[in-house]
Amino acid sequence: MEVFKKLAKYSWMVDIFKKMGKAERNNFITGYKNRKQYYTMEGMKANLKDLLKCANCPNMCRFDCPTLQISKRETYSPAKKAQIAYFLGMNYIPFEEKSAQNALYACVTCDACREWCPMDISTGDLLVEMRQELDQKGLVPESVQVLKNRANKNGTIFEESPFYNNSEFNINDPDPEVFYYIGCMDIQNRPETVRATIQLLRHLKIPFATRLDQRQCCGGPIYKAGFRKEAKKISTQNQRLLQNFSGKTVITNCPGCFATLNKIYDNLETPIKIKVIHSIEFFLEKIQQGVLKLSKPVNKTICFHDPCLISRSSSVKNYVADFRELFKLIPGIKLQEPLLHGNETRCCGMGGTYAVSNPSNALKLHIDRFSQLQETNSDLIVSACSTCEYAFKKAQIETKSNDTQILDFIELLALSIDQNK
Amino acid sequence: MDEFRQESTPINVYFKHDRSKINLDIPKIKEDLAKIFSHERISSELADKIAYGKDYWLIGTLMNLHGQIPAYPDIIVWPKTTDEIVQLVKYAANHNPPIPIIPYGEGSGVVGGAIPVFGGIIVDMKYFDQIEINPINMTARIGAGVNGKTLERYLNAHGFRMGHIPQSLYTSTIGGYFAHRAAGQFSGKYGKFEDIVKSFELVLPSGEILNTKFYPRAAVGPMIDRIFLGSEGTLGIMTAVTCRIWPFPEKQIGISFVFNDLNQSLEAIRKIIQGQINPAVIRIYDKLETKRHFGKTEKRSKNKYMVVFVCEGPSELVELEEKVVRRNCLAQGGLECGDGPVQHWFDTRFVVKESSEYAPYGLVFDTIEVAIPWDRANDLYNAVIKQIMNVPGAIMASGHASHFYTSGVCFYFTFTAVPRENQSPIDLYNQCWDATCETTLKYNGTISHHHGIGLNRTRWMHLEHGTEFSLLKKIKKMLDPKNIMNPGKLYVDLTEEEKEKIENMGKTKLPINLSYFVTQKNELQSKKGEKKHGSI
Ligand SMILES: Cc1cc2nc3c(=O)[nH]c(=O)nc-3n(C[C@H](O)[C@H](O)[C@H](O)COP(=O)(O)OP(=O)(O)OC[C@H]3O[C@@H](n4cnc5c(N)ncnc54)[C@H](O)[C@@H]3O)c2cc1C
Repeated sequence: MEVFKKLAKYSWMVDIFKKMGKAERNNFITGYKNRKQYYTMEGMKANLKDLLKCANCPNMCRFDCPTLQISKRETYSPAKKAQIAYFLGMNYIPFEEKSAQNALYACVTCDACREWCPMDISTGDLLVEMRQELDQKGLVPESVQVLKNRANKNGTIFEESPFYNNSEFNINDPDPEVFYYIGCMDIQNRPETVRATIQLLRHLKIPFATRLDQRQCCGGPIYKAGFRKEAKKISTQNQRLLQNFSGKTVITNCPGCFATLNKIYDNLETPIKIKVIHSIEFFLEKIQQGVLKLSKPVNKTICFHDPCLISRSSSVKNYVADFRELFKLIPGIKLQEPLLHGNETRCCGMGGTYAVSNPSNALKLHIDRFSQLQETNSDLIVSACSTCEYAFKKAQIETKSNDTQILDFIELLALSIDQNK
Repeated sequence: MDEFRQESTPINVYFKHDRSKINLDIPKIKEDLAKIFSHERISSELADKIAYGKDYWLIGTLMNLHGQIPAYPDIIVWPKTTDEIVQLVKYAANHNPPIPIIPYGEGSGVVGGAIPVFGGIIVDMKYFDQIEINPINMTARIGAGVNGKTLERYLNAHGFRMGHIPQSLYTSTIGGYFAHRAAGQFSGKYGKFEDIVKSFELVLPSGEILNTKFYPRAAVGPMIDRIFLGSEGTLGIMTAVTCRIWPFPEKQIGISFVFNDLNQSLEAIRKIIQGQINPAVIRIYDKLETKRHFGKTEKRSKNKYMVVFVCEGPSELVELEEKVVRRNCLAQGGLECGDGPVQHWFDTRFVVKESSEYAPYGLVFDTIEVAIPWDRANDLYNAVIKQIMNVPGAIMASGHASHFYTSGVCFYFTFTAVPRENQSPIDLYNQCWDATCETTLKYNGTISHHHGIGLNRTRWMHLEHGTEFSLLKKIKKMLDPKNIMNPGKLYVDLTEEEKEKIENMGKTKLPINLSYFVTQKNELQSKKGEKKHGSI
């Protein structure tokens, strides 16, 4: 019987079962059989079962939830957001209720919750599904709706697409080995990182292509905002583009693109067959093989901000150790870790379209994380994500603390190679 | 959204919380509060009311399944300064009718302590989040809203440890620990929260600020500060505490033993503690819990009582503690199992998923922690397990002991029960609680070791405290004449019928355990002949 099979997992329960009176056993089995009534609602695609599990948990991950820490609002703690989403999903509160809608968007989808979850639940993933329900009902708040309009207009989250034919970054070598998948945030806000990557690829004499003439956003932010249909439209086109690529590897500097192409595309049923890796993996391997030589000492203390999407235990790939390895190999670098680092990193505040739905709290998060990094008193603040770096630059302007330089690890790499060798 | 209100749900069969008596003009109150708090720190939005309408009392969790909330607050505020709280309290007390004020930490309380049964204003303390270390006095000044894990992580990174590690570390605040006299897993070394707190700031219901003095020790008349520890938000709002801290331990070891019976394991630990050795963690698991937690990882634990120890501190001390622990456990027939089981305990100690997994099965379950002197400990354990299992519908009762003193022990019971058709799960839940509290009181034990009273245990207050209770009520009346602070908890008068029922329980005779008295007599006799050197 299903119930016994399931319970065999919990062998300590077998004795309890054996000793149970007949009436209790029958009541138990009836209760077990009826359990689905608590998470079944016709027409609801969101995962109500996990939402209920999350809602009934004592919030054991709350201390690392950035939106709770910054808003101080119990309502935005993971278990309470799940409770609100569950109440919406079960029709206990109407979807029109604005305060409940706000709870759905009070999440940076950084998966810090999942890091601590004994049930391996990502509250962010669950909330994204519920945002999709809001979209279905045409109830998405105006601030977020903007993203959908832009996605429909130019396939990105920007007013104007940063991908175009005559861009300096539209490079398409003959017989490219590598597809360099440039993130829109890279071009828009941190073009220096794109230049540094190109410099390194050129230094290694690796032919590559960026196909900016055919590019769109990866669709990650659109998906996370709850616009599944638009995200799928984009992912389908990107799938085609990457399938037609004859090289071996896709590299990207953007953890968002990396996670989206690897994970969300599976979810959207547009899986990418070719290997997609973050550029750390690509360049670290070249260094370890002795192909890329780091010969110029940088002579700086650095503090590294691990981007959530490539640092959690549950990430598609966790690059925490790779970065530490890399910093050991760059001459003259001394790493100083902030209090929250590695898989316990703290989101910069840009994730999950939080900066669109809650700009003022997102800014507080940028400042909060930036000041945590500054506490290490390092010469440089380094990350591996243009979006995070953009957030810290905003924080720097806002707090008028312009003395610490913010760099991407790829820029650091470019600094330590000798162009003449 | 008022149609969503479901106040009629019987959240507690013993007390009727008649909210209708407190009729509040919410828009007007919000307008008044806007003179104290900026607008984004005042809310009466539905999602907020839902979020703050429940803590982690099982009843609220069961209600979640039905889209219900134990009780709504009318308004939530987020003060940033003590002065704002002073103004709020004065406003609430002077309002006609007086407005209930309920301090709120992180809602991990398991007895309904933060549930706003009469509505009113929830005061979320999360902005009180400062931590300041004094490395000379080895203290930290900590805001009431600081989360336990955030604090310990911060202290560890600076080379310190407070050592207050409740299982809810990740989801509870300093304010909650103070309010409930909480106890952490490492309490054997670092003490319970009342041992850790040296001084504090608290806003009284009158709006006066109580700032207790920080001293190493004092003998300056009665120490009234102790009244507030454990007052559960009913005597004021605590804003910050000064706590003692320690250097991060140089060494930590784990050691474990299995025993054939509970009494042997209790005796081993009694000898260790009374022999002046204080391991940070000591836990005895009964057979069922041993099977549940260690059955898969430690084969030698089959049909046994597992005992785990963690010793930490300076290396020499840890080595000595380990030696004495081993000697006493072996002497009582324990079999050493190394540090594997301790490691397993470390790996799983924050894994909490029972409510998430089992609540939809229609079960009721909970944990109840009580305290009892050594000479009745073994008997109380047996009696409670038996009484819970006598409740029709109960399918499981188990226990472990997790805090120990020279004079006694804390037992932590877990029960599970299946309601019969048409039986209210809450009735069944209360029957299991009654069975435990009744039995504990019969043995002259204490009905809560660290979870506190809240809504759930209020009905036992006068039996637990006896003559102290009327004095306690007088103190409450004096400090909070309008009863604004967290009403409905701790001091509630019972109806005649309830009184009779509960008092009859208290009067039942305690069965005398002859076996224990024989052991005691032998122990005394053997000590009689011993000559002590250098005795004073
Ligand atoms: C999984 C789990 C494990 C647990 N393990 C333990 C354990 O090992 N040891 C233990 O002792 N407890 C434990 N608890 C119980 C609970 O965590 C504690 O009671 C904790 O002290 C509550 O803290 P909180 O901040 O969540 O308080 P809340 O639940 O928010 O409030 C509890 C009470 O404190 C009052 N209060 C809160 N802040 C203040 C303040 N600043 N001033 C005045 N009153 C205030 C509230 O009004 C309420 O009455 C556990 C709970 C759970 C869910």
